[in-house]
Amino acid sequence: MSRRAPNRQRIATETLQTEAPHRYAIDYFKRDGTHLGPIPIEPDFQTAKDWTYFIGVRGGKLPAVTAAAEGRVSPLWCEDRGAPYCRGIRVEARAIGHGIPSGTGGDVVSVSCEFPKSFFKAYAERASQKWVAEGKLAAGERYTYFVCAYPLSPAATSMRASPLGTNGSNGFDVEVVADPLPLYESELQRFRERATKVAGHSPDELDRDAQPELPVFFAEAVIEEASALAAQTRDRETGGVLVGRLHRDVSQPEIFIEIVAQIPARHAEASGTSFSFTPETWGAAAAAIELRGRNELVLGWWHFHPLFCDPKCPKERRKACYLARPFFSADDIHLHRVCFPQPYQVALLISDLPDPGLTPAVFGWRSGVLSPRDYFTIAAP
Amino acid sequence: MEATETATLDLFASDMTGQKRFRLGKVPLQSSVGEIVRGALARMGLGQRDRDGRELEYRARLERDGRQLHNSERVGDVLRSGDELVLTPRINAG
Repeated sequence: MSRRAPNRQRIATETLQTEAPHRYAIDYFKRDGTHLGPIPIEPDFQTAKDWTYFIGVRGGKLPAVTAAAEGRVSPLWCEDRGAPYCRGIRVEARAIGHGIPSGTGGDVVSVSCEFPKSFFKAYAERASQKWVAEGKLAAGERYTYFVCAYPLSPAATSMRASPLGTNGSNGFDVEVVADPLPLYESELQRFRERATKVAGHSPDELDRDAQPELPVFFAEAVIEEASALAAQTRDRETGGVLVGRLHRDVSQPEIFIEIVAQIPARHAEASGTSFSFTPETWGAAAAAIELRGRNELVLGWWHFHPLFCDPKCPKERRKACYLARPFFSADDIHLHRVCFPQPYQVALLISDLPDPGLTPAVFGWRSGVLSPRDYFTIAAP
Repeated sequence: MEATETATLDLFASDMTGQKRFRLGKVPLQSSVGEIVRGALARMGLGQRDRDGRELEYRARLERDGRQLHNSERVGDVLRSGDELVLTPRINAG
């Protein structure tokens, strides 16, 4: 959507072209110990690969480019149960040749990250619906799950090879273009001094094991404008696009993002419980960014959840109700995964809640999983 | 339009943020825009289905003039070598 900077140079990178040579399944147990059995899953490891690559970029070890990362995914076996049970996965991403910063000790640089079992939590929840449909698990019933990995045969591995290359039937080639990320050299500490931190997540397994969050700074005006637009519609969802800049502080080293503006979605379709971005919405946002003329990037999106709670619902019940808190629906997660998969792209959610009223929350990628996150607000200078 | 001897041209395609970008080489002039969009999506790693498994509707926007192309338009009629297409979905939040 945003135009590339006219003076960008093309960086050629070659990355590891290895797909995960394992197939995965979730093995379910009821809380009373009854074994329900395994269900095969097909995890999308791209967010884990992108996260791993971006860890390398944040640390100044890998070239800061836009291309989707390739990487090798391997299971981490449970220490007590052993294979095929996994406690998580390890992803190795590497870049070869051009574009590697000097002083990194050679032409091949790799970065690896470990991802906890919670990476598979959403897959486990979705697949568990099979047991509900078969009446073996009640809706909402809690269960225990294990992640299993089984080696793929060489033939199956080659069938899962990278889809890039020549398409025999359509007769055209597809080749990734690795453009440099437009990074502004800035001091993270100077941003922190002007900012107010807003805590956004609760501790869980992911938090214990995850890598540090990417610092995200929102101009206060962005949240104020989104809240004002939400207040206007009140009983209908609304939304827009977040634009800003990527910054790099080489002294840390660290990359951080600054959201400077929101662009309300035009030509969108909205109701009380859904909101659709259309091709015309994206086109109008691109035109608005072009008009702004500040070489800004699309760094995420925002939307509004009207009050979903029954006002007569007792306070005690609300405490345990997810509708009384900011939450991302399955559709929201899917939209973010499809449209904003880069590790630094975020989402602002304005929720109309029973007690505080309009409440902002920020979601973003962390260890390949979309989750609520901390953020900073910055007042206008 | 710069047609090659084999009646193809080279294009660029990106996701709606411009941060995933690909070169499409040797695109047949007689293809429809819709065929190119469908053929490119999978190999660009962009989501093709909604959460319920239905195919997402994508359109291609021509960066040169900001126009949304119709999927039935012919590549040779509307595109030049080096043109940039932005692939944009209709997609729901909830």
